[in-house]
Amino acid sequence: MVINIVPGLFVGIKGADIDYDAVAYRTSVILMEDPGSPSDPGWEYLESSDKSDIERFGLSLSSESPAILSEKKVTGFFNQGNFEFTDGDYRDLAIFGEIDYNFNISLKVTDGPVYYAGSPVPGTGYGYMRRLGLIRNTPSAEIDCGEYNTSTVDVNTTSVNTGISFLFDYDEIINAEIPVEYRINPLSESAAFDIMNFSSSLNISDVSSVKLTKVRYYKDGSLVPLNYDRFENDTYLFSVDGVNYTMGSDLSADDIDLLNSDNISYLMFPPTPFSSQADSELKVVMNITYEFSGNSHDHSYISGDFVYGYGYDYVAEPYLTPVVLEVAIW
Amino acid sequence: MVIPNDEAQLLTIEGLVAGLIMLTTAFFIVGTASVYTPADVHISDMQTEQLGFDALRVMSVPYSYGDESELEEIVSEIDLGGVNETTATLQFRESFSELISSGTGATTIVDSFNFSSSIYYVDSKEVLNKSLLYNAENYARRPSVSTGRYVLSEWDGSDSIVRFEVILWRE
Repeated sequence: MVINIVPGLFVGIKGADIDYDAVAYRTSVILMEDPGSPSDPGWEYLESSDKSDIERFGLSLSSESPAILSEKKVTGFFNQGNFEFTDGDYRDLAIFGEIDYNFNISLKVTDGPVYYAGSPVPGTGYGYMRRLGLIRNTPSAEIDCGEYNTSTVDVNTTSVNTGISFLFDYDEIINAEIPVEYRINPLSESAAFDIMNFSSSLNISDVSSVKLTKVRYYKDGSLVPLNYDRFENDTYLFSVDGVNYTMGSDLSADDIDLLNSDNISYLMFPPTPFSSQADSELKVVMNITYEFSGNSHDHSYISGDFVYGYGYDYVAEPYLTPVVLEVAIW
Repeated sequence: MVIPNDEAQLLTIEGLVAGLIMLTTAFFIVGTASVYTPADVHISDMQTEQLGFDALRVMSVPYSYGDESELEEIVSEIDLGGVNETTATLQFRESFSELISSGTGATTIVDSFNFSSSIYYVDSKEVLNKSLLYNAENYARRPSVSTGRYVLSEWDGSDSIVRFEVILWRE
């Protein structure tokens, strides 16, 4: 009997050829040309606690734009966002196959950051694929106050209540004629305004006080009722010189002194308010009060209405930058 | 019938059964094993072709909305001839080489590619082609792959679709 069994022992052993290059190619295609799953809204917008809902990775912006990657997907995929992916997650959702492959996935943005996932690549014996594509940069508005210290009142005026406002005309922004890679999409990406060089652009000898009293939302011209003096950090982030504030109450005790503040930044997380109503307009208004001390000449101050949209030199519209992706499997 | 002193017989049976169990275990363990070996690597041509295709795609997508893509601009400049053609050809060679030799730093890139390109266009129902200046010439002696892309650009004084082809090989 033993003599019968022993030869049968080795019959079951099977050799399997693994084409590492093919696995690397498959992974590169999944990452470069596919938006992943779920894709609308994309996996990158899931809460980190819902990580298990991701069925497949994919870095492309949409299925209509292969090889054009989403910045948010890239940072999320390489653990620079709110997710913490393990090697096992990358194997299950990007590499696939029954075998626990070792891998290294890296992506470099031209003149920008490099991202890595996986183990360091060995000297030889790995499957390899290199892909070229483009990454879409998220739009933002940057107001350099040096160019906007142009409003004036006459010499006898002692104070001015004014403001800086940003207008979202969703009908104009969400323009389906513009291809998705160049379109501003407030439904699914953050909108940021950075007001720079504020106090250094003022005639400081002339201005005795500048206070930002409050920030308010107006929809189609009327004030939106909200609890403005509460932190709502999943919808906006408002900071002056790096310190976070609420949008402010109506009390003067909450006023923010801007006399020595250079950077005012307002970041709205997607979806921005009312962006799902395509014909609505949202205005974000920062109320600012100036008091003047000098009385030798007319007073100038910073204020203005800024439109968040296409064709304004202070809006960095979505633009593309070349990237290179390398996948090594062994 | 009673056999006296039969303990040895019991021990023998026990020993045989134990042996069988061990053999069966070994049979199942060894029998389900697979040995993985790397297969032949023969898709380097495909890698080169994909890289060339990717590079042409990157060059034919405008970086901002409403802009001309780099390849579109190069094609229309080549059509103008003279100094414009020389400058545009050199620009193409520089941009394309830079793209196909770029890496992330995770692996060592062997930058031994060379390439030769031409533009195919239709003139009076005839398909003609124009070789670019400064083309490397020895592709016939190397395994080479061809990749191409249609470009809508100014050609022969009107908006035309031309095919921009690149033959790529490793020196």
